[in-house]
Amino acid sequence: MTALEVKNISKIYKIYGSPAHRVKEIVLKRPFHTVFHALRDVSFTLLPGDTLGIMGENGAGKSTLLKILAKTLKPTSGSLTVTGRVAALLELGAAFNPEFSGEENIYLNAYLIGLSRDEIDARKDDIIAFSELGDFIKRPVKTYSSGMQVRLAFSIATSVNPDILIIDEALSVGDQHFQKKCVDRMMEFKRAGKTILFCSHSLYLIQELCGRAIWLKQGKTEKIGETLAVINAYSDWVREKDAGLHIKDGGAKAPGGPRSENPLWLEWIKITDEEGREKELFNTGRHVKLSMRIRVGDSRNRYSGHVGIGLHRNDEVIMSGFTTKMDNLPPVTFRDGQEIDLSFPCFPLLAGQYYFFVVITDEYALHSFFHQKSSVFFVEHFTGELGVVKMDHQWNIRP
Amino acid sequence: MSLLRIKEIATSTFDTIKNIFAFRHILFQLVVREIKGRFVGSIGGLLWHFINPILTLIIYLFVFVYVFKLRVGTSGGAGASAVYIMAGLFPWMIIAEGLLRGTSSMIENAALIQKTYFPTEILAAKAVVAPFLSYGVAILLFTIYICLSHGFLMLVFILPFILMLQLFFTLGVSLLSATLSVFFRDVMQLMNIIITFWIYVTPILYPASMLPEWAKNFMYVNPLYPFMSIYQSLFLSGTLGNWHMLLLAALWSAAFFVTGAFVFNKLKYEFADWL
Repeated sequence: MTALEVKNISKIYKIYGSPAHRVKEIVLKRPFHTVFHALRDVSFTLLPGDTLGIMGENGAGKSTLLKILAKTLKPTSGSLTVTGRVAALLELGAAFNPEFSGEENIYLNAYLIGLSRDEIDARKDDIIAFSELGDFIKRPVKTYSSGMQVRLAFSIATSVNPDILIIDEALSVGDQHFQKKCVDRMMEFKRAGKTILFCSHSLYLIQELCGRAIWLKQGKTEKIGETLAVINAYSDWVREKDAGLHIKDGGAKAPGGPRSENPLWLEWIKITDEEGREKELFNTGRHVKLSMRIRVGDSRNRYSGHVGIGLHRNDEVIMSGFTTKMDNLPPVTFRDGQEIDLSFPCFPLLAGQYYFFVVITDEYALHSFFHQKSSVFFVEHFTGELGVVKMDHQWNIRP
Repeated sequence: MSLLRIKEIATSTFDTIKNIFAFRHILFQLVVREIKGRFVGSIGGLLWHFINPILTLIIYLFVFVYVFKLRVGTSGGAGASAVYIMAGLFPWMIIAEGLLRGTSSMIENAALIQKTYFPTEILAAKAVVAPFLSYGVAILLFTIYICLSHGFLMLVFILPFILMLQLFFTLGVSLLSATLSVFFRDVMQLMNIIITFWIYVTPILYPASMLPEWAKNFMYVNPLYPFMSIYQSLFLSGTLGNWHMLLLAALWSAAFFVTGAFVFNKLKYEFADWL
């Protein structure tokens, strides 16, 4: 049995220059609009337990597709078959009444999605606890920050135990701690065999959460299939598109912020040789060691997770990236003052300027607790090779 | 947020009643919250539900009964005139508020409609039903007073039926105007003007007999005329009066409800695109 069957869905918007053109069209019976194809002929089928990531540029039709799946928009053509309860968190936040308290809005929203008073009474405490709004729940929603509204909306949407969960880029607001909780809850849903449709600009989240992915380009399915294949195709296309554009400091846009706000942070990152001497200039093929010292803000909390490294060239191209999780190491239990070293006994990159991007993540390697760039270091080589990397090679010249 | 408990929301004309009935508990909660929330943050709070109609009534009584010396019937004194005005004015206030809030019910809840899958007609129903409750106390007290002082016991049985007809009439007009206002915002301005005019072109603050002959004929195309005529006759004489009026009121209710529900159902899935 399928959970969701989407067949040849298209959505066409009529764009009118002014409201009067609509009247003209009705009276004169000839078109006064231009046509915008938000979605063209999109089809896919999901089985219960499938997770589908949706990627694409802004305006590619991602939100339109999710709204159609949540049934708040009607497709212009095509058919949609849904089996089971659907909970959807569309765009940022729910439609709250700003004058009412958070608690009253829980009731209003839950009534409209079809819960009875008893069901809401039973779930209310969980919803409030998950949203972590505390005493704010008694205050009018107009006093909430956008992050608080999303927290409440996410709590309500996921508390109804749906079979199909639709999330549209809701995790981009809210603080790091809540993002982590959301990711945890989505992982729970995934483990419980629920169908998830997830739209995000974070390809990494899609890669880790979703088994399949769809890439929408100008309303059309550009590619659909196994997540990694779709992500690679999409990333390729984005790079191609960006080529020639000067990208400035694109590396650091994930959560960062002042240290005092982070549960843990890096006291320092050093780049040294095998003897531990800090250096700025290295030779290709020699030993390069990256060292870091971890600080934990509140030693009563135990954090465990993974460390991720991105080795970037100065033009932001990632030369290589990996995490302790990919290397099959168990999650690290971070301690205050802990030092972690990473050695490259035979540094393979040829001459250039490089830096490391260090990320401390949770145990799924999904949520970033902290990230930081190292200082830039220089590599020289005098062996005349061309290109990016010194490759292990062997000639075999037969007489 | 949306949760598809109902698999598909039905869309034929009479499904409007079905949908509203299926969501009646939710409608009740929404109405209660609407009434509670209407004056939230003000010191008067719920009291404003009484202060508003009473002050409006006082100003009309002052102008029409005290200053203009309006007298109804042949033997009526100032007391009868006051009863006459109240009989029409309370139902009129329910209609006027229902129509104004009903017309804007879709636009006001644009965010909700775009994010949640539910029968949107309950938003119009909420807007139309809420004034029945907020003015309900005034009408109830007025009815009890008339019943006890004049012994018009029939009133208690007939009044709910007429109010029900009025509810369907207001809901029908609201469904129509709310639909149109999604596509043409001008409809909201137009409804404001209609409401301003309607109270004066309907015999509410004056008896129909004061109208010139040519204007009397127009009363048959004024849907409010039969309603007001029935209310005035009920409260002044305790009878239904001319049964033609009842027929006319029922016809207007049915006509507007069917038209409103038909147009609304035809277009409600376009709302999210236009809001």
